[in-house]
Amino acid sequence: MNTLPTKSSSVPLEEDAIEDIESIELEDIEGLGRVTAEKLRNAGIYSIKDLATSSVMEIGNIIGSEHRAKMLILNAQKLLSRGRFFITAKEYYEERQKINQISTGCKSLDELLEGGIETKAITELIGEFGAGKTQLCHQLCVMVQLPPEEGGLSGKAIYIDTEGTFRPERIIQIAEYRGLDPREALRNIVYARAYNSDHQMLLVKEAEPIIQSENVKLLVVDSLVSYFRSEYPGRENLAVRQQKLNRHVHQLLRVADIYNLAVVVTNQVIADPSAFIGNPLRPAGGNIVAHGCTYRVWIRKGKDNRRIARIFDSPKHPEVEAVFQITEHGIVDL
Amino acid sequence: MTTITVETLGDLINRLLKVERISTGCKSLDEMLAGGIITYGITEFVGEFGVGKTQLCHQLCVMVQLPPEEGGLSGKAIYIDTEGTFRPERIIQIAEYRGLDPREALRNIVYARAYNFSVQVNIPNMVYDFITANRDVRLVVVDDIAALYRIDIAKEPLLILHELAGFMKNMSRIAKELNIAVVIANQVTEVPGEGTKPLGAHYVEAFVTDRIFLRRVRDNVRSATLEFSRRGLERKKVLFEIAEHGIS
Repeated sequence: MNTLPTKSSSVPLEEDAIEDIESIELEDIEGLGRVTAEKLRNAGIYSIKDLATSSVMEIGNIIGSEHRAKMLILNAQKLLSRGRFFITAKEYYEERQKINQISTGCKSLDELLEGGIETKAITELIGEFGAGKTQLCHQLCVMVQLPPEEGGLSGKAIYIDTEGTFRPERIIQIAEYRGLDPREALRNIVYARAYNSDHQMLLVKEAEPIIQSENVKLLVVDSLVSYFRSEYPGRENLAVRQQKLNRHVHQLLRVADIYNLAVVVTNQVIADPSAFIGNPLRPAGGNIVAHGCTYRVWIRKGKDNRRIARIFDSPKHPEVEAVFQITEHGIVDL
Repeated sequence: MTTITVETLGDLINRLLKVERISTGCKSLDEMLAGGIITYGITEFVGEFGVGKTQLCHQLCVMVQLPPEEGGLSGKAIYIDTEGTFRPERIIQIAEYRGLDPREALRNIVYARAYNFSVQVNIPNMVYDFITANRDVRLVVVDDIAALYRIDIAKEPLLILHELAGFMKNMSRIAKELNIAVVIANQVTEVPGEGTKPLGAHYVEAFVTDRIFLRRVRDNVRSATLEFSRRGLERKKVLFEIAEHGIS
């Protein structure tokens, strides 16, 4: 091929040619100076992996030149892959074997999710007010504490609450039902109330040392976009809002990936006035959230206390529905 | 490069005789495609979310590894993933059903993830270099060509479209110079007044040999329509089913 620069043609396959990526700083990238690196860091681009996986537009907006952004991203990608752009599916499979699952405590939901909530991924719970998103978050905070043979990861949970809907009383009820000491269960949940979107993002940053020292296996953000929506209303703020939201989602993805923990976020639905046919409801947060979240579960209300969950846009799961109900003991099968 | 290669008709016929086929593992689809997807060309699967594009891509990565008498080419596959939707677990299921050693099947698939469009545009170069060094690769899958393009399109649509055309041109060059089967998945968009159209318009269409439209019929049943074929196949519609062990 002629027009674009090529890499070396002998590509090592089953060989560990890669050096420690974490030790490479932004400044090590060809053509990236101290000032630009500072700009990128302020915008939430910390590592060469962050840079290599950003879009040209995004970086272009930060450093003010799309042309230069393109060059930097390509250089970062080169540094990141160093002849290891291709790996065998077997290596990829082994990488994915490190992923753990947390049971939801409800058979039909576990079946829907093929085992439970995955670590190293963001699972998004979508639904209208009262659909049971927050209930499921509470339940997962308890489930993660169970030993592996009962579906948990013997880990702790962090709960970032933006709407003030966390209820320790519910945790006690669910923990008792699952045979855990309620006081112990409460002690294993680290709670933080976020007061605005900046604070929400800061909390994720502050959570990192706790995750490192405390065997945290679950991070809940309830809800992901509510502050972003209220602080940046209208079309004129949309671009700024989405950029910031993108940083937040990537921040969460990074934490999930590095510390092998499950991130669960909730999201509201909004009515799309431009949809004339079909379902006018869609999740808030647009493409940024849609692309960032690995699994998206839509929960809607049925009769009585019944709830219907459906996975959509998943590479792994078939599109089937699961029915469960919300009781005093938490979320259970019918 | 400005060199013009001159080829006699005899050479051309000899080259075209080398075109090989990979079975899709599904009788009705194979019938529609006169034996399967071809090397020396690009096969495109178009459809909305959840119509089975990714599933077909997974299946073909396994089918290409089968011996010729079972519909494969005893070759390896490259899987270019732009959305993080590649699932080795699916490969294992499909390989087991087809009587292959799952571990061996995984080892025969080369995986690469593209995170942004500028990397995607560079992929043909890397694939070309890789195949020249590893000649047993017979299939390249790109799933899909539109996801990253959709993120970057907002600012400079025309420039991005040209880059997409360049990407397609280079992929078709891989197919023709190295006699490789190239499979791409593509998303659809609503064009006012024209209904649902594949993304990339003629920038993509120009390089595609067979375009197959996938639609949801019910639960696990999908329909495939051969939208057009540059090798003279009849326009046809068939049904197939997505199951745990793949497509049948």
